[in-house]
Amino acid sequence: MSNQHLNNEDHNNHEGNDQHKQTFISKYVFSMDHKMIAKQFLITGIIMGCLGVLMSMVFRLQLAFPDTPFPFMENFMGHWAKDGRLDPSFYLALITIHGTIMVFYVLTAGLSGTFSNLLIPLQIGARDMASPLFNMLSYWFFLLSSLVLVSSLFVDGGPASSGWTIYPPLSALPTAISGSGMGMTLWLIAIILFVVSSLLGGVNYIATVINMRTLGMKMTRLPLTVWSFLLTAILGLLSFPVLLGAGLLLIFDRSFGTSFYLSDIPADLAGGIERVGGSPILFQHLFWFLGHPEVYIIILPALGITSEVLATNARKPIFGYRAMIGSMIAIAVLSFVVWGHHMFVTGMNPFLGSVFVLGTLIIAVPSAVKTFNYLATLWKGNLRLTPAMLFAIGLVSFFISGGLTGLFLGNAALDINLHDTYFVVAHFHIVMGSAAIFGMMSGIYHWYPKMFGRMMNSTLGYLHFWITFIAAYCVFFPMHFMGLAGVPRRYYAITAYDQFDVFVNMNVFITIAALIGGAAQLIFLFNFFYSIRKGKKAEQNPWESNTLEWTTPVERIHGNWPGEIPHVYRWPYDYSKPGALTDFIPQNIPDEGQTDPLEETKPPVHA
Amino acid sequence: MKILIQLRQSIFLFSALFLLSFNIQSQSADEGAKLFKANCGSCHAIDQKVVGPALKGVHNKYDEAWLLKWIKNSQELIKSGDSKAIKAFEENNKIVMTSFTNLTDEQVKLIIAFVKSESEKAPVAEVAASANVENVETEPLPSIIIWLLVIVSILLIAVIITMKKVMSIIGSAEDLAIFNWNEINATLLIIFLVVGLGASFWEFFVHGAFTVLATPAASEHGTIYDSMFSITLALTGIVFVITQILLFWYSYRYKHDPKRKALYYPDNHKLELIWTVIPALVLTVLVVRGLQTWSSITDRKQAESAQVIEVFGQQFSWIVRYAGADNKLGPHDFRQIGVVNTVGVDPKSQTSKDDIITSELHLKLGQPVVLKFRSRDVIHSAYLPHFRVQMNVVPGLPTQFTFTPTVTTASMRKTLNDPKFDYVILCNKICGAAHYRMTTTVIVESPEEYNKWLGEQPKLVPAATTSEKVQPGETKLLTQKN
Amino acid sequence: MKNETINRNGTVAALSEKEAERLLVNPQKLVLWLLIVASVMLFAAFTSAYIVRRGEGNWQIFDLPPMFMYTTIFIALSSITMQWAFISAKKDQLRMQKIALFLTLGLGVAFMIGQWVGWEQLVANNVHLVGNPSESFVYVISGLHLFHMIGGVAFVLIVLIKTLNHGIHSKKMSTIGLCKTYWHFLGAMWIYLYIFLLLNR
Repeated sequence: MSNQHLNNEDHNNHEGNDQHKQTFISKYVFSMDHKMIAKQFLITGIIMGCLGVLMSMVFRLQLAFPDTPFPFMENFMGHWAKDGRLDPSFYLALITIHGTIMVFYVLTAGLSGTFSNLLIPLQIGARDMASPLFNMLSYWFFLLSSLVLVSSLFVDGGPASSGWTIYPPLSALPTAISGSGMGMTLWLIAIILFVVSSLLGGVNYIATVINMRTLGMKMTRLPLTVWSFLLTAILGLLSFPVLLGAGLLLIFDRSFGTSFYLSDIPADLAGGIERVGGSPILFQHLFWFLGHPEVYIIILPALGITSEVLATNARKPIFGYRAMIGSMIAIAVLSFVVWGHHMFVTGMNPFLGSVFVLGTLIIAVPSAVKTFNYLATLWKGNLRLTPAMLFAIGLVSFFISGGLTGLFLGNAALDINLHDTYFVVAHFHIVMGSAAIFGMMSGIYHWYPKMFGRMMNSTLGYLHFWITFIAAYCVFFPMHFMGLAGVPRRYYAITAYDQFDVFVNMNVFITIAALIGGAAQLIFLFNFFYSIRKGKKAEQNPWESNTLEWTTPVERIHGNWPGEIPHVYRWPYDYSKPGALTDFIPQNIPDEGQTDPLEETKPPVHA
Repeated sequence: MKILIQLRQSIFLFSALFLLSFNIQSQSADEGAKLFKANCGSCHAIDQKVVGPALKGVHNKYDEAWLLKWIKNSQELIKSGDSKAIKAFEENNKIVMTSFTNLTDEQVKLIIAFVKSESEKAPVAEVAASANVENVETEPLPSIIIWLLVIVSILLIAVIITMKKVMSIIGSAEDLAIFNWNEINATLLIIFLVVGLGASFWEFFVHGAFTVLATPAASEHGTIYDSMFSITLALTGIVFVITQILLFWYSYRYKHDPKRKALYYPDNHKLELIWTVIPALVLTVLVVRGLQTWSSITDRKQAESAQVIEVFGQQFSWIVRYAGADNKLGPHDFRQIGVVNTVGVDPKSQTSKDDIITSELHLKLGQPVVLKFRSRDVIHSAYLPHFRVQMNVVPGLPTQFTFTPTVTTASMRKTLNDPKFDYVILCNKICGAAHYRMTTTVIVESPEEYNKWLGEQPKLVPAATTSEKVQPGETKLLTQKN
Repeated sequence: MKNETINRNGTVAALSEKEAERLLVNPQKLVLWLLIVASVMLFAAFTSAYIVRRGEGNWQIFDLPPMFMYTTIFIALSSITMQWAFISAKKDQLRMQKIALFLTLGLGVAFMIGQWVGWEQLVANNVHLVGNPSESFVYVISGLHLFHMIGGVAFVLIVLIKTLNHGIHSKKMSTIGLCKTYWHFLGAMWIYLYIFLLLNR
């Protein structure tokens, strides 16, 4: 293939130092370098995450102390917290925006956006993404989306408040709840911008992985991080457009008088136009067709990061590399046929329900395989318990706990008493709010040297880990029992029912744990930002890892490698290989006598 | 003599009338309380703001004519430009108050009278009729909590302020390897395992006792539900304990030792096969058993012989319609909701005449019942946790759930040792500001008690006029407008 | 190989010969195809929603506007002219290339106007956006396609302008190649949607 399809600006003959002269704007703001874009995603994600956490602190205070006025609330939320008492409909707005921020802005953009951008070109041996322009646009759409969402906090009527799942008719009728006015419109605009951002990013990741691997980087030599990012991007490509479709029809129902999702709604509730013939359940089908793959979009990168961190720090190959790939593919494929398990109590045809039960419980098999493979990776390893490693171990613990409760919820019969209770809240907060976040933290601690050329302080890292790990379990484990007692989610207070009085103390305990856990993130924030300037300078390969990103210079340059891109001679997991001189062999190091990168390396030499 | 008899008769008549008027008055007060509870209580209390503002003294603040208009359709009043209405709307964060077009003037007046009488009571008295309202007073934060938060905040602030110094100290400490962090973390991991497992078990036994599964289910299918749950719990519990132990044990046992080399063990196909097949087998058990349970619970045939009751959900209350002797619900039209009656049932139809509309759900012990759900506005969900019943209530899409109650309210009160216990319907799908207060009582009783109660409820009365007198003993909850 | 730099206009530039050889597909082409997949999923969502809703009853049946038949012909013809333009460019036949591109542009614009006229015909037939979902769907589905056409027509215009500036020829085929792919996608999608609506009314 000739250079014909590539742009023909003649840079081939440049000699010596040839960085484009970069202004502050072109280097830091409108950057098209994937490493900078990764950091932009990360920092925006962190800021949004802080907002989401602050919101959760507010509504946790409400839940623990429903009859106590908090004057400071009025300072921040004005008329939504008159006399220090949180307005019940603003409570619903807070949980809605909290959920939206955490699911999309932190765990999708902040996780995938950061690490796919950072690691794909570096780990496959590419200079940058397939389309640096689209990559930059992906970030800017994300930022714009974030700004639109934050702006919705300040409108009359408040931000969207029908839950992050925005079911119509509640989200379609401004009279039904105050957030369904302008707030909901802005939410929809923000999500459309977000989907555009995701698609631009996703096509880049896929195109780059398929197209731009260096010589010797066969698909079966890709680190599991890259596999997870590739599959995540494919999931996103296929499922985000459906969310767009769902949102588009909702816009029509809200603003143009159609009845896609509305039925039997009299005109006075629906902006003067009577609505007949629609189906609110149609929205749920379309929404969850994205919604379910979305949670795998969230967890797969975290699982990929965990594979990498565990192997590197255990000084051992990841156990079952091919099975790990197969499991991820199985999870990705199956994730498209289980969306109905969010809808078991909608009155769906029971046969259809059975199909979804089957799919949901089958998906547990590859998840179990991955868990056992993680355990086998730890077995007889030599574990360096770095902060990244601790977070990875924490992820496995949460993945086990949260994954198992999924078996209750995926069983339609059991879901009857569990749907929309705190049992569900516990389940998804453990798998997403804990496991996936821990994956993100693990990735941050592990690749910080690659992003900033410095090390984060590990003592603060240990402190951060332990407080967060304990706090997260303290917050979410008791919630299972609240759910089993019948306490519904999205309740402003449970004090209206005497039978829930037993949980008053539990709510206080949970809130205290949440406040402590939330405060502990300050340790992380300090560590993160302080270490950018004052952290210990990093070596080129501080973790003695095999993957290609650690062969680039610490200072980070445009185009990643100063000379030619390294060729790859082996898979990424030759740690403690018998017969080797060191306990790790980077991918770009050939075996003795190996000249062809595509040739297989020799098997381990056992004594 | 005759005069005396006449006098006695007139005294008798007079006292009877007098007592009757008292009866009517107290019935009216009762009636007002009932109307308040059914219509207003989910958002309002007398002495404090709940979802909407406190109503104490509202009869003084606004005149009756205005209140009639506002209560029946506040949005219309606001749109008409009424300044008091707009002010009230804006003062309350522009939260829309649902309209009550079905209430007659008479009923609204009864509600206002009730509010008046409650307002004039001593402030801290228990408001009996407006049930489900929490403590009138606001509670200050318990002092121990405050102290705890203060201490933790001080510690954290101290840490953060001294972070810079701390970082340089521990930075150099790291180089000097004063602390073997590897050892410390490994030890902490194993301690976490022990404490964590212990705490899980403790929670399971202590908080587990608070769950609805701690007492036998109140429905027939509830027993197979609970059995499915137990099987799942047993299997997942075993997996949970084993895997968490392995995870933390390995993390401790194989902590870094510079003298040891890790084992190069990239795969083992037999092992992979084993731990693919075993979970698959376990899951097959769960799937098969689960689908059996699901199909028996959702079997439509059960509904054919069941008693029909409609549960109508709206922002923010439940209305229950009994099908009456013919076990057929009268036809309804959503356009008639709030016009002919609250649930839009055509009163002229033959099947509607024996329908009974109230706000409480009464169930006959041992009688299969099919609850048919309809919604007026948004998606709600009828959740009856003790019965293991849940079903979304969707506007335009009727749904239903069939089950047989097996434990009376009285019996459950004994089991739970709580004489004030009542079964409830909880709304379990976010539906608006008062979602957390959208509820009604469910009562399971013997067939005799059930029939007695139902007999006392008024049937759907066709063509009622507001001038019709109230007969003694008859409460009129809902009538049609002219 | 010395420092390479990345081009600002969005392609990976200046790979060494060896590195470039390893590219399997033109990266821009791959990106376009992936975006096409995403768009297909969007239309798939609407057409499945259509089928699901239709299955629930209360479904109004009406004739599609006769104009849609003509627009379908327009867009089919425009794909032919687009292909002709592409082939002409490859053969460096500038005159034919220009003619073909003008025709493509004209047919594309005619399509868009025709769709609008089609909507007017629907309104005249008392089929409105606001009403039975069967009616609303037709508007939304054809409207979404029309939205995609805006980008397509703009792309053809860009290609035409570049052609007039002698910027597209056998040695610089990537832009017109991408345009051709997108254009055929738009045509194929419309034909699918039209037949779908005809069959599934």
